[in-house]
Amino acid sequence: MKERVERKLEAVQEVPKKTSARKWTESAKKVRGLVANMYLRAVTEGKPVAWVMFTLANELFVALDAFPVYPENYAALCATKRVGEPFIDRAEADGFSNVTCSYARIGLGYSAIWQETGEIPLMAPDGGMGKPIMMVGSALVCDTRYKWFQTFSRYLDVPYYAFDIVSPPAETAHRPDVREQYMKYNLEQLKGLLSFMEERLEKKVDWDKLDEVVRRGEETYRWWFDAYMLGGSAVPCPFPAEDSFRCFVPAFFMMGEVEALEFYKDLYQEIKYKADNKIGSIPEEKYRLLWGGGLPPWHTMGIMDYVEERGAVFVFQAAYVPMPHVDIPDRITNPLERMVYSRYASAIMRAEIDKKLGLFGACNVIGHGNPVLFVDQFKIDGVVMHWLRSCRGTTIGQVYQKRLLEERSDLPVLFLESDMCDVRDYFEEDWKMKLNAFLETLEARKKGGG
Amino acid sequence: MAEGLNWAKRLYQNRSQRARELRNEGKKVMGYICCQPPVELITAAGMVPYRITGTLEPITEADAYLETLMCPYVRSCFDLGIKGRYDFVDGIIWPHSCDNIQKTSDIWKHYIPHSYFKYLEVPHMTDPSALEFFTAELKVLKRSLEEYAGVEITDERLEEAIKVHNESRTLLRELSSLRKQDPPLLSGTEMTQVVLAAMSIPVAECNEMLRNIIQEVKARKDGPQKAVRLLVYGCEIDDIAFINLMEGCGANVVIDDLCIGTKYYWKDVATDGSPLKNLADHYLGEVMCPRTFHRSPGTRQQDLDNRFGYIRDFAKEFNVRGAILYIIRYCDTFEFDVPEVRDYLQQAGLPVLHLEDDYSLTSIQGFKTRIQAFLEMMG
Repeated sequence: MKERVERKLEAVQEVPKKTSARKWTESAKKVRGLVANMYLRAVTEGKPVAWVMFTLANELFVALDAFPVYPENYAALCATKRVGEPFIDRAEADGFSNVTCSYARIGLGYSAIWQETGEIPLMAPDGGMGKPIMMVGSALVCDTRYKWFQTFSRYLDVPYYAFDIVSPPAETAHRPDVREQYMKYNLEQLKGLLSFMEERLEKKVDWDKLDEVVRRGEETYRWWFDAYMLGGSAVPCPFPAEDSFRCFVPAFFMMGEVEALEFYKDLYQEIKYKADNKIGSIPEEKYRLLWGGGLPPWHTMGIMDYVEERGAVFVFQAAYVPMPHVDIPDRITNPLERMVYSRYASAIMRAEIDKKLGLFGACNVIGHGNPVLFVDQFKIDGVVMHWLRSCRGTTIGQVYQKRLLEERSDLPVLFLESDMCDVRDYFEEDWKMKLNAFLETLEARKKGGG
Repeated sequence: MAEGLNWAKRLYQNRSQRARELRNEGKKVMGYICCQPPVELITAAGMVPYRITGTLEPITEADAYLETLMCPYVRSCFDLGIKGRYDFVDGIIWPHSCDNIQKTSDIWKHYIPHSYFKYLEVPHMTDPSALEFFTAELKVLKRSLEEYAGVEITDERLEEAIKVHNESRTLLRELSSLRKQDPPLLSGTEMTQVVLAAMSIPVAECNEMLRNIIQEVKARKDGPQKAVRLLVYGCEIDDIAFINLMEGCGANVVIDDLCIGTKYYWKDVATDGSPLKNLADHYLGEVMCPRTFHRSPGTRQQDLDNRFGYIRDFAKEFNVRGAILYIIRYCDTFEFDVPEVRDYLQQAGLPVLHLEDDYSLTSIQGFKTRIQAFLEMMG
C-alpha cells in the first residue's frame, strides 16, 4: 500500500496546470500565507495541538493557548493543491464509501498513511498537520462532523470530544420556553467542551482572557459581516466569490485572535475604498451571479476565472455567510453565555427571516444562506448552485431553493455537479458547456429586456 | 387456525389498508419517519402511529423536489408523499435523525399537505444535558399532540401506552427468538413482513396479531429448512425483496440489526419514574443508531464494544455463521461505521459481506452472485 501511495503521489506531483482562481483583493492574497503559517506554527511552536472540526468555539482554544488545526481546511488545501487523491484512495481502500465526505476521506487517508509509515505523508502540503493531543468534533451543520472524528480512532489514539450545537426551527424559535431549552443545552455542551479541554491541557481557563477573546470575536464577526455584505452589494463587484471563499478562513479557523480581527478590518476598508471608487474586479461587469449554494470546487477554483473572462462575476456566495450582528445584553457577562447567546440569537434572526418568507427553516444551519435572501439585495442576474456528491449538508435543499426562487422571480438557475475535494467527480468540459449555455441565456434575457 | 402470518402478510401487501379504515371511522393517523419519534406519545394521544416507508417502485416525481445525490430511501418516501400516497395520514412527526431526513423536513412540510406537522429536534449526544434537552423536546411534542388531538396526555395514559408498546416489543422479541433454533421456525422474510405490519396498525391490534403469529409459528411444521444462518446489518429495509434474495440464495436470516427490525423492538422503555424521561432515555440512549454519539471514555476497544458489542452478541445468541452489511448509498452515518463494524465482526470470527445499494435493488442480480459466493465460501 505504501508503495502504491508513493507512486500516486509522484503522479500528482506532475500536475502542470494552475487550478486556482486569481485573487482580486489584497486581503484574499494574504490568506494563503495565513493558512501556511497556521500549519507551520502547529508543528513548530510547541503548543498543544488539537484537531478540530469547525465548531464555533475557536475562542476556547485561543484562550487556553492551544493550537487548533482544522482537518477540513487541510482537506480543502490538499484539493486546491491537487494532492488529495492518494489520501482519498487510501480511505476508500479501507472501506469508506466514495460518497462519504471527501474532507473526511482525505483526513482519514492522511491519518492511515501516517499510522502506517510513522511519518507525515509525503506531499502533505504546508508540512502536514501537527500531532494532536486531543480532537474535537461537533454536530454543527452535518453528521460528518462528529462521525468522521469518531472514526479517526482507527488510526490515531487521541482522546476525542464531540458536542452538540442545536438551533430551533422557525415555527417555535420565538417561544421563551424553547429559547431557554435550546440555550441551556448549548451552554451545557460548551461547558462540557471546556472541561474536556482543561483536563487535556492540565490547566484552567483564565476567565478574563476568555472574556477578552470572546469580545474580540464578537467584534470580528461584525467586521466580517459588514465586509461581506458590502462586498456583495457594491456595483461593480470589488469582492468576487473566489475572494470571499478564501477570506472566511480567519473567521472559521482563527476566531478570537487579534490577527483575525485585523484581517476583517482591513478587508472592510479595502472593499469600502473600492466600492466608493467604483473599482470592480473585472473591466465590464455584464452579469452579476450568485453562488447560491454548495461548497466550492476547491480542486478547480480557476473556473471562476473562466466565468469572469466572459463578463460574469460571482458577486456573493451563500455557502459561508457570516452571522448577522447580534446585540448581546449587558447583563450577560459570562463569556460562554455570550458565545451561546450570539449563536442562538443569530439563529433566531434567521428563523424570523424565514418566517417572513414563508419558509419553515428547520433545515437551515448557521453559516449557510438562503439564496432567496440575496437576489434582490445584490442585484443578481443568475444563480449557480453546486451539487456535491459527498456533501449532504450543503447539497440537500438546493432544488427546494430553486423552486422558492422560481416562485418569486424568473431568475435563471444553473446546477453544476461535482465535489468539493474529489476531483474525480469533476468534468471540466461539462461545466464549461453548461456555464456557456447559462451565460447565453443571461445574454438573451438582457437583449430581450428580461 | 387463528389468523397469524397471513394477517401480517396481507397487511404487508397493503400496509395502509387498516389505517385508512380507521381514519374513515374517525381516528387520526399520525405518520412518523425513522426510529426517534416515540410512538407511545401518539398512542397516548388516541391516534394511530404509522411508520412512513418508501417503495421499490421507480422514483418519478421526487426529482423535481429533491437532489439525486441524497438518500434514495428518503427520496422514495417523499416520492410517495408527493404522489398523494400518504393522503390517509393526518399528520407527520419528522425527527432530526440524520442530515438526509432533517434537510427534507422543510420540503415535505411545504409541498405535502397534512393538517399537522411537527419537527422534532433530536440531540446527537447522550450525556445528561442531552437527555434533559430531549426530554424537554418531547414535552413540547406532547403538548403539540395534545392540542392537535384534543386529548390530555396524562402520565397515566402515557404509562399505559408505554406498557402496551413494551408488550408489543416483548412479543416481537419472543417471535424473533423462535429463530434461534436450527432450522428457525420463522424466516427472515416472514419476520420482516411482521415488523412492517406491526408498524402500520394500532398497538393493541398489533399485539393480538403477534400473539396469534407466535402461537401459529410454534406449532408449524412447514418452517424454513436448514441453511446458512446469517445476520443482516443496515439501515432502512422496508421491503422483503433483499431478505428474500438472501434466503433464496440458501441462507436463513435469523437476526438483524436494522431500523425496521431489532432497533425498533429489542429494548423496552423503562417503566419506573417519569414516563417522558423514560422515553427520552430509550429513544436517544438505547436505540443504537449510528446517528447518535455514544461517548465511551475508555480505550478504543471499549469504545467499539460499547458501539457494536450488541451486534456481536446477536451473532452469538442466534448462532450465525456470517453477516451481511447492507448499506443504502448516501446514508452517511452508516457509511462511516461500516469499516468499523466489518472489522469488529471479522475480529469476532464472522465472515462479512458488505453491499452498498441505491435502495431500489436494481443491482439485485449482482448482489445475488456475491451473496451466493459468500455463502459458498462459508461452505
